[in-house]
Amino acid sequence: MLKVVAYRCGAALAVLFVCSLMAFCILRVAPGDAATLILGQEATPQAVETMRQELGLNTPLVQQYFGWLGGVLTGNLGESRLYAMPVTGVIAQAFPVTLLLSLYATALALVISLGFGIAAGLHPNSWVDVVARILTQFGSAMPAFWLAIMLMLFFSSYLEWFPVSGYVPLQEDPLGCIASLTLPACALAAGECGVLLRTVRNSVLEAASHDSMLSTQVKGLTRVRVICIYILKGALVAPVTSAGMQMAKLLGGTVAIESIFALPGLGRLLLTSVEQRDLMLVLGVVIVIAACIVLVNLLCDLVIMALNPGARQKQP
Amino acid sequence: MSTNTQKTRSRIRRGHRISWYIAVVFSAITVIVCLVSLVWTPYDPSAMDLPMRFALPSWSHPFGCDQFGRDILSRTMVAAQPACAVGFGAVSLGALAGSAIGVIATMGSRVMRAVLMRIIDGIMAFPGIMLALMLVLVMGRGLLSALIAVSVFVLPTFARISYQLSLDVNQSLAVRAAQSYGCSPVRIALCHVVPHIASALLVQLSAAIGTAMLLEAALSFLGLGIQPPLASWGTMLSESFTYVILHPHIAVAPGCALLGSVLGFNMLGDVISDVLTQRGNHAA
Amino acid sequence: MFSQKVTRREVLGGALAFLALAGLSGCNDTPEQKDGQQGNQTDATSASSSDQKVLKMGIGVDPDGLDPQRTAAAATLEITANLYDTLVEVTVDGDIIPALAKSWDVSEDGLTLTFTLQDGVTFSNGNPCDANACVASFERLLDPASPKISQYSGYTFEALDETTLAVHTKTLNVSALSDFAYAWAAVVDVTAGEKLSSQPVGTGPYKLDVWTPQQKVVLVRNEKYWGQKPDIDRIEFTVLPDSTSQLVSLRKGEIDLLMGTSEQVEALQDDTTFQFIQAPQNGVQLMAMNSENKALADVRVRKAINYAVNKQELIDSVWWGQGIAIGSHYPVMLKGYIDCSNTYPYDPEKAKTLLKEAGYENGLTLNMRLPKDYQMYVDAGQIIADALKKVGITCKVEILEWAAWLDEVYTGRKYDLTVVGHTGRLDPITLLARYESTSSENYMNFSNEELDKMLAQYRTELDEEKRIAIVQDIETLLAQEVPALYIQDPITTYIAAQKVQGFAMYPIDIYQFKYVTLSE
Repeated sequence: MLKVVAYRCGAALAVLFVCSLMAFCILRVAPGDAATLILGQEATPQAVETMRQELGLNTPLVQQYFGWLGGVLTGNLGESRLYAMPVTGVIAQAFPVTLLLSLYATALALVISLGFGIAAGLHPNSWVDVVARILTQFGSAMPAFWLAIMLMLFFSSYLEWFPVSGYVPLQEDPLGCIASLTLPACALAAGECGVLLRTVRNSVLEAASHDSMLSTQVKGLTRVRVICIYILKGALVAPVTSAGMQMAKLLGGTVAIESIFALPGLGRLLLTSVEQRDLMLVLGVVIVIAACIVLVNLLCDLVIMALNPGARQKQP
Repeated sequence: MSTNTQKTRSRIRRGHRISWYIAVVFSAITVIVCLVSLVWTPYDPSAMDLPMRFALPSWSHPFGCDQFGRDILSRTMVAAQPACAVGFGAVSLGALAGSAIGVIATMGSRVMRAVLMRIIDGIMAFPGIMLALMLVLVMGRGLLSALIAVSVFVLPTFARISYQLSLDVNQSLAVRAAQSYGCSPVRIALCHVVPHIASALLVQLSAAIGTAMLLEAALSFLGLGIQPPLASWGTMLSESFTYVILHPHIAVAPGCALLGSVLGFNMLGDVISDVLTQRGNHAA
Repeated sequence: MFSQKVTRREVLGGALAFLALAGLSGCNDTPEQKDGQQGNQTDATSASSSDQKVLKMGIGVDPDGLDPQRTAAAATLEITANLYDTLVEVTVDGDIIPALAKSWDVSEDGLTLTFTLQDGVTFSNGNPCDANACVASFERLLDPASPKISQYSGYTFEALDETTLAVHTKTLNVSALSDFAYAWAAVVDVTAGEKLSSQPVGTGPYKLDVWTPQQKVVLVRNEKYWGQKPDIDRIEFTVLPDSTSQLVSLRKGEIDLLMGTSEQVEALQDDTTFQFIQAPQNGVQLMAMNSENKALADVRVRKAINYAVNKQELIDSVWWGQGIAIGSHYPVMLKGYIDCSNTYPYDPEKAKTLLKEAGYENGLTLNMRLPKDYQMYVDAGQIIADALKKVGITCKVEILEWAAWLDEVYTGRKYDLTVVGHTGRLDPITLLARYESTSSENYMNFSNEELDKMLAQYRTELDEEKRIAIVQDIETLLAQEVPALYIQDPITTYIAAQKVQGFAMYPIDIYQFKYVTLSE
């Protein structure tokens, strides 16, 4: 058991290393000279050269990479050129926004998926099931950014129920914060629903049609008890952990939505930093998001392993 | 009991038939519109008619005109081209490369397997849009880089599935027998492994087309995919976002087209998967 | 007289970008919001008390740091102009008036400028701002890391005593005084070093309260300010990247001031809760043609392109008519302007004839590289491309990120056609010098001996009348030779809530919130 856990952790670390290496290489070959960008077009060639030295752009790539990696391991992601402050500081300001948004969207998606999914799984082919299927299909086919525009048009501009854009920090005004994140979360939740609803429905359906259900009927247990104790307990581990993984992925998948609603989160930070060629910031955001995803996936794997002894055997 | 089962079965069948129709109709429309737009559109999709800016839908322009007075219907039709190009092109590319990596990995040593699969995991750890953003940064914007970015995004799924499946196949008696006869690994892969995993990959393939179209649209929406003046549903939506409060009608057609196509291809994936599993069950 | 505004990086500014709107302004708070949030506090000294006057302005992008000497972004300078002071200040009409320097003298030979500083000025951190501090600050402007090094490299600085500062030039430079009015010539506290970007230390009427990237930049009144106390206590710049959310925020009172795009102006036209503050931008928007390209080196092709485009229709479509058509590289409100906009009126047939003469009757293909962040330029480029197609010139449009555009098009000069804007300058020479064959800013690769001669002549000409005559000759020459398709001097519109008083546009990239008041 311990060996398997150690193996998984090792693999996660390896993945992270690969991620950092890929991100670093990709960004270093990107066109657009960072030094020219900082100085503007009127800069003299000498000034650009000095700036290149300062930014360490003239040292060999390998050296640059390990220098950066060393910094990452000690919690130093470098300095953001765009915001003239440490990358960790900029990310620390943006991270809660995206985290909150992802949590909110996942929570919404979970509530809807669990509601419809359980009902649909217990009554396959009923009208609930049909609704659930339609929701699944539309959810996964709906372009989140289009939905977002439509929601904004209707609820913010026309009905004026929610703020159109901008973000209110949680500690300042919890209600305002929830309000500012509601529409973006809805737009994201639609896509999540598409994935989760199907998982919930199928695993409830499978659990309900399992042979052991027959014996509970024989035992004369009430239907509610059967559903709560026997079906859901087993059936929901998979959907809930997959919701966890979805959420982690969402951390990096909110680019368009954050741009539309002007939320100061990681996604928009990534887009801005890519467009402005703030390489240190891009690398920082990428590595933080990748680390979150890898970590959450590892946790989910371990949880599944703990709950389901069968999974322990399966080594990749 | 038996009548009940029959009723349920007929209901399932009816449900399937409806989704089958929707899937086929929507995906077929997408492909047909794409083909038609190659030879004919009601107007030149890039011809500007400035006095007609933001014209509302009318008989001559069923979806109205955009910010340059271009016909939205024509543009929506033409935009099916990049969608299909990325949908089919990127997915085939990703599927080919991905399954090749998956199959090859199983034939290699333990170390090679671990390295390849960690790389695949590494790609998977990036959310699609983030990965595409970085790739587009390197390759520049445009159809080709969107295509490559999307194919890199779908690649790991295929690699994983083919890896798992071919591991199973490799344990099978047939492969072991072939190995004992001294068949070359390439021959084994082509004659035994590939046919076995093909159907599972096919299901994945049709489902991935919808995802790919969605990702292409998202990229174009962010200005990183198809470049104006070329039309793509994503760029059309992003252009319309500037004017959406005053002229909401220009966002309707491209959005619906995108939704319809993705819906069609996603459902087609489900239908194919159902058909294949049913056939599998019958055979068993 | 003129005003301006503009975009992110100075040289090219001018436009209102869809995603990257640079500047907007804002005014005080919306009643409901502030009442709810801060209504209970009455402590007048508290940073956020209820009777504070708060101005909320929407901006499109974050500033790129708050160090005026280390930025090329107009959006940044507009904000830093309120944190730092310059020796002299420019009025809305383009006149130079005293600021940190209460007076100045020019020596007989015109080679030395002597400034007398205000007494007892201190930086917001308490350090004294005397002549030595000013010298140190200007020398920092000559550091290789400074983007403005070329503009100031001809000067040497000397502190004569506590409050007297001498500026020497090697050669006569008639625009010397105005060089000290630009926001990047601000006096900064050099002891704060490179931290200035995130922790600005200046002598200005405001100081930084808090800057949360991607959300807001908040300035509060600097109680140590040497001049008259400004009316507004707190200025909040809210980052709103797209025009739709800006419009809705404005309507809902979440912001009070915004640099409006044409659509936004159109949408709010009939809303009496807003006022529109309009003025030409003192900028020039154009489609540059790279003379490095063999076809474009031929003046007949350049003329043909000018004939092929209907300028007024272009302005009407992209800018909703908010601009004044021009025919040369010269803003309408700058001294010496002559109207050349009709040199080559719209005439596609003539364009075709000219192309035929030049040997391109079978068509010509050019690439057009546009800066993504400026939606207006991208739109204008596409319309021009469509117009050129009708006379047989095919444009391959490519849209680049701002960074890549700067690198490849502006600096690298790898392009055939591009649409861009140039923001305001106080002196004609700083504006026109880019056409000098040797200029590092001559990204059109334009070269004309006569023009070079006239520019050299201007620099040393002391007589104002004669200088203006030279400028007019240059204008005419550019209008004839058309190294670019000159489009317009854009009119900028700020949309402001009615309570905002005294907000004005200046001929360079600055906001002066110390003159703005809020009526209740």
